[in-house]
Amino acid sequence: MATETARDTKAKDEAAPFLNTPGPTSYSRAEVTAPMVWNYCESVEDANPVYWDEEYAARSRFGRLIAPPQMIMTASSGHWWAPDYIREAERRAAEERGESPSGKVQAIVRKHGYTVATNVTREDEFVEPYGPGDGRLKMTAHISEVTEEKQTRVGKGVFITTITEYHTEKDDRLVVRSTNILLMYNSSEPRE
Amino acid sequence: MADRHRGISREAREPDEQNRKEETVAINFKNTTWESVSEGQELPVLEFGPLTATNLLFDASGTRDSYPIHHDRDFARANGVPDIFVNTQWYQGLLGRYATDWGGPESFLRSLSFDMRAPNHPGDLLNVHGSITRKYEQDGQKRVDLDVRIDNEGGTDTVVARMTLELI
Repeated sequence: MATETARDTKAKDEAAPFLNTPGPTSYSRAEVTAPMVWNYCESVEDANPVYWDEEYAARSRFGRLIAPPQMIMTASSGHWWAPDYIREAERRAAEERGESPSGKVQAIVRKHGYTVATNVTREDEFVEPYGPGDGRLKMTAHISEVTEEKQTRVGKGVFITTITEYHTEKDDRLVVRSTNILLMYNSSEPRE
Repeated sequence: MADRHRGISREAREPDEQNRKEETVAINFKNTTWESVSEGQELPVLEFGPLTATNLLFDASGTRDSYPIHHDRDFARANGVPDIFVNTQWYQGLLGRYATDWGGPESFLRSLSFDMRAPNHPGDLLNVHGSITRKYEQDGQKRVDLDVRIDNEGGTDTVVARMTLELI
């Protein structure tokens, strides 16, 4: 028996005040450097000379070595290991920054029973080149949408759209904008 | 290098020796111009692999992804997959490379999104292929949208990507 009822909008409504509010700014672990670019290019055997050859890159329309723009996730990734005093300093810095809107919204969504998270899609828009010399990457995110409850294959859930903007540390240029859609669902009620 | 000249007469060899410096130093990567391409056009195929455990090592270190499912076979098997497999960031790298290998060093990737439908493990031979779905100008840029797919020997569409590339 399937009775059509109005779709549940409780999580959507409660999350509404937190939408489109930029969260705290954070920075990548390291500056973008040529060796970081080369390690990345090695893994997929990318021979593009604007990533490898300083002279060639200087003569190109980019005017300098650049990073493959698609390296953004790698360039902004965290430590594999760090000494305790570094970890502790990072933890304190995160605490001072305060909870991100994403964190708040996910907590609200979880409270309504959508506890399992799975990424649905990510789209990266490469606004401008970035590369060695630009310093670290500066990240700010905001949530742009939380949907009403939808029936999915894995259960009832809501879709959360997060937009992250990446700026260069050195001259604060917007270089990448990424849109991520996360499904948070209740796994106890899969579709029959 | 000596073997290269075996059986070649001195006369035939000398011009080669003279030209060698220029051949090895000059980088001449071809750029694809926007004017020369059309909607529906197929891009050349790129084969990568067969993947080895060493590729997965380069993947983990190059893309800075330490999640064990991508480098620890025991961990992968204990988590319901038959073997380690390449990660999201590696596909980002390979797809970006595919676009600019074709577009040339002056081309620039403007957007990328993709679905991962089936994993690629050591032993898999990847076949990357694509076509131009749209050719247009936007924000003063000469752009093409690409539909790019990664198949392997066992199936099609393990990865399905939508990309925008700016050409000169």
